[in-house]
Amino acid sequence: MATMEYKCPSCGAPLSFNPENQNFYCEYCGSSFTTQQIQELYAESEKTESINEQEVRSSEEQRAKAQKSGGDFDEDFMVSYSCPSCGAEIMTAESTAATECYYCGNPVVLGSRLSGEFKPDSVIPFALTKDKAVDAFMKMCGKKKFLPAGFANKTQFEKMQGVYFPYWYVDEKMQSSAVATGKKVRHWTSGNRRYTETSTYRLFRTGDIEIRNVFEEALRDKQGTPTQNPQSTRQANAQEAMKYLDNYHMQQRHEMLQCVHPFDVTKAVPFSMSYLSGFKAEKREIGKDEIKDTIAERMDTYAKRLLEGTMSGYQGVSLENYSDKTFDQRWRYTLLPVWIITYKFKGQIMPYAINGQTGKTYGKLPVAGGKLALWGAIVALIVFVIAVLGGMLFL
Amino acid sequence: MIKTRISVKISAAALVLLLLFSSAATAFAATDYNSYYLISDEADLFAGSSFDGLSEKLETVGKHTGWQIAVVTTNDNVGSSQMDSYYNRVYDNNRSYFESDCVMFVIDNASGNRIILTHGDAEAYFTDQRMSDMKSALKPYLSSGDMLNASYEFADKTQEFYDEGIPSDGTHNNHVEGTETADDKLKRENKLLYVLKKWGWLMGLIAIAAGGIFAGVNVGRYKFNGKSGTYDLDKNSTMKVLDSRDQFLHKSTTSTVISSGSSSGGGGGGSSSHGSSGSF
Repeated sequence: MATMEYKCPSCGAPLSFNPENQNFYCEYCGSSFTTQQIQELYAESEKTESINEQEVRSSEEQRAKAQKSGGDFDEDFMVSYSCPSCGAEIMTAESTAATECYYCGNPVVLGSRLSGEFKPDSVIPFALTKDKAVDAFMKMCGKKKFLPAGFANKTQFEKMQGVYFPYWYVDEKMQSSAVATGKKVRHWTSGNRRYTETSTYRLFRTGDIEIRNVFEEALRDKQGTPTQNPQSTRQANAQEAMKYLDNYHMQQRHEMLQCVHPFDVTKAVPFSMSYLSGFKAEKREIGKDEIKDTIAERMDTYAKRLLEGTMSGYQGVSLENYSDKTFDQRWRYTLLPVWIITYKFKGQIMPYAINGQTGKTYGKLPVAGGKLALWGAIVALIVFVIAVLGGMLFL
Repeated sequence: MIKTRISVKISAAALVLLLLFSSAATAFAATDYNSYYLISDEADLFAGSSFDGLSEKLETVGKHTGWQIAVVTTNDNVGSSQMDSYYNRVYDNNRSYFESDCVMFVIDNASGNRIILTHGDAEAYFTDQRMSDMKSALKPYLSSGDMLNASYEFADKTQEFYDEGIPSDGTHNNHVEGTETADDKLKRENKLLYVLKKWGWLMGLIAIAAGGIFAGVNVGRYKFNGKSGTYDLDKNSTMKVLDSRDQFLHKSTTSTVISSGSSSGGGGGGSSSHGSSGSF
């Protein structure tokens, strides 16, 4: 598989995107380059990469064929590439579009996976550096009293990856009409009788509606349990570890990604492969056709909600008829930045997600059972004492 | 028993409190008491000077016996069959005035019924025979309406019984066992133990549940640490209303009669202490 690597124009060392300054920084010679400079330098290479669509298509065709025939498609399908820096053969998940060599750490963009129809329209670049992401995580850990002793330690979180996840964002302009019935209820009392007057109205509403940034994940859910934990011998199990992490991310990501939303899409920029340098990236697996019905349903729900919002003053509003006509619909395949921290607890590797733009965190934390049981017992004791004192006062 | 002498005229406020807390509405008007004696003359049978003299007499006997000697007159108009339970309840509900060891002579002036109630150590001294002796001794005074001397006689006979000691063969058929249960007694004597014995299991369950909820909530918070992100429709949408019409269809009116039922509530319970009594 063809790869793209971004090297410092000054010294030739690997170059990664720096979220803090939103530029490219060479850790070896200290040179900085704007995104525009790097994009201009690598424009020709990126263009060449875009031509290598064949390999992407072959895996897509394999998937489509398997789905059509009802056969199994190997979700763990791994592909190999040669690290342009050290020459090692590295296995990645089929959806991986950017990663780093497990042996030499060299950032690599598998450009062909983000070319042609798989080329994202936009990307929200990482705004949170790795250090700040760890700090945000440590700060959150500091507020948790029932974490196991020694858990909130930076050395625990060496396995931290910045990952770009693919999402579809949809904007739609439509004219929607709704007919509903609503009631106005009035109460009054006269003598010893209480009167209720119910007036029923038919409500007609039509509006030009624009709904923006309805999002849907563009990665496929995968079933099954993660492969067994990687062993400690680095060289022997490098590929196994990579496969494990890829797999694990796939299975846990949906919930995590939903929960680190929202992202500020106004900060999205036109896609360039260079933003992926130094990060991991997943290419989309789900096309528009697969989710257009889901998106249409959500658009309808939102449009109805907006129209119903104009029917204030009525009770028991019931929609009788709804219709809409779409004038314009725009789909944007966007990559979203998420820091994924993995930690090992009781033999299991757990992931934790941090929004790479806003710092919002989500994930599963371990609980120190003994500490929690002790506090549970203290709470029980306090409640018991209060109950007994209350009983002595009021019984 | 409290040995400190306290002689307090019960204030009007205390009387109000007494009325509030007493389920048996006996107001201790013109009341004088300490730990050796108590006179409550609601029926107003004793004139000022005779009241003071009787107080001294009862106190003397009280100090001699170590019991509280009480004379209580009322206009509560209690039937003879109810005298025992009613005035035991008065005793129970006014324990801040009455001592544990107490001999109580009650004259209900409205009904003409009288009763002698004993509590604590005094019970053993008032056998059936002695209760009959007491009645015989009081009868001439009561018949003539001389309540003052009846009270003096009551005090003298009480001292006499005390001096004679507890009869070895005395019977207590006149004793009326109160309805105080073991729980009531425990509640009165050791409320903590009562609460623990009676409700401890429930409180324990509540406490365990609270501890469990605390642990469960925290496990949940750690398992799903963070708030779910939701789509903000207001922020991501605009709408220009082109048509907004409200067409009236129909109107209906219903009515219901407001019930004017009144409710009443309340009621209370009481308890009686055990002791010997003799009514006449």
